[in-house]
Amino acid sequence: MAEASLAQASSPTADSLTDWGREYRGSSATPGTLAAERITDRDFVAEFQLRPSTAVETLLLFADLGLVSKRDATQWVFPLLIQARGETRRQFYKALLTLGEPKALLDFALSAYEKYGNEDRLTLAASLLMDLGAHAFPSLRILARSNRPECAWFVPTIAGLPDVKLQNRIEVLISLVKSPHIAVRQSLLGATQALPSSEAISLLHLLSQDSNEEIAEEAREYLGNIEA
Amino acid sequence: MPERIYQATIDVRMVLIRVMSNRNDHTKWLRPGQPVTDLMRNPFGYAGEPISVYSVMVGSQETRAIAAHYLTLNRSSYDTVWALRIELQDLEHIGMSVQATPGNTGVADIDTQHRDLIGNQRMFELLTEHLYDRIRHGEDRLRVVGHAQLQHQIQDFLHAESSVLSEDARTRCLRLPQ
Repeated sequence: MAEASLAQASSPTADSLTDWGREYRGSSATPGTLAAERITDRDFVAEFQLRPSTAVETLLLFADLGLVSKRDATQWVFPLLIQARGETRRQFYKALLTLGEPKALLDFALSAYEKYGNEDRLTLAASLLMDLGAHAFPSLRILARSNRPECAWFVPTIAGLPDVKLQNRIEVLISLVKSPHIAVRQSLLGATQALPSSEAISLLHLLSQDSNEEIAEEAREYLGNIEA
Repeated sequence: MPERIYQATIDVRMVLIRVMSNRNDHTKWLRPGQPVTDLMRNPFGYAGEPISVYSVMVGSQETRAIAAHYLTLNRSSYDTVWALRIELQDLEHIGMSVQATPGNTGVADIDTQHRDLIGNQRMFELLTEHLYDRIRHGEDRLRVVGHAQLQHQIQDFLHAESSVLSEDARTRCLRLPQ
């Protein structure tokens, strides 16, 4: 579903999502018996417009029960996160962490960015992936192989991702040294601070050979500071 | 030897800043003949959606806001970031408005300075053209902040009381090199 249609949908359903959620909480229904009951993006948006906080809470419950896929739920919440502020944004952010779908987050952030621009889509996705930790690493590795210019926003996440073996992170970062996009290679310079000295030195040695003289010079300067 | 008296330069201009995280993207704004669609892609986008900015005094408060925003990037390393300076008269000129909304940096005095720029896609195009033109005329509409300034501000945040710095923000500060 496109972000624009999510923002524009407005017709409330007769039975609200919240009422469904309340009913399910009090019943002995299982995901199997509830399989026929599906919710749609329109149900969610209609409920969200009436009771944003409860709508998200209920969506999480439905995702937990398997009534909506976590990927779909991520697709519905992520666009709302961009425009949310204050406590509502915190709630959406937490909901997306609970849904824990790094691949979906990356897919939706990148496709929405391609269509609508605004780097907040990428910085928020990068922040969420950082908080998802090791679980996000396979998706980040695939992104790095894609050679997309948007990798620049995710390089600091790859470098600092907690609970991922240093060797695995370094391999991905080294693969990005050959990126055709200057911004991606530039972002590697700052990211070296998240690495232990020996690994940072290896990466900086590679960057010091960069065809872009500014990158090469900055890498040599960083090397000089570490080795001093 | 006579004691040197340091006198801070105080610039009292209030501006709205749009903080950007792609370190060298600002160089586009310094080059001639850039298409408006390319310039507006990262800061404003093409959806005419509310755009997050901070209302600050140029100089120290501006740096503090940029560093606070840096915390939302959730990184464990420092990199150069930059901001576009937008003046209220730029918005009046185009017919755009500003709305006070809560920020999400976790730094209380900066979150109260958070605003949303409200306008449609055409207005954001006009704003981009206007800012590009002002830069071409020599106005200082770009602010670049690097590792040293960010690190200094992060240290400052860590000395703040809990009423100023939220727990989440403190955790993010501690993730950065000290």
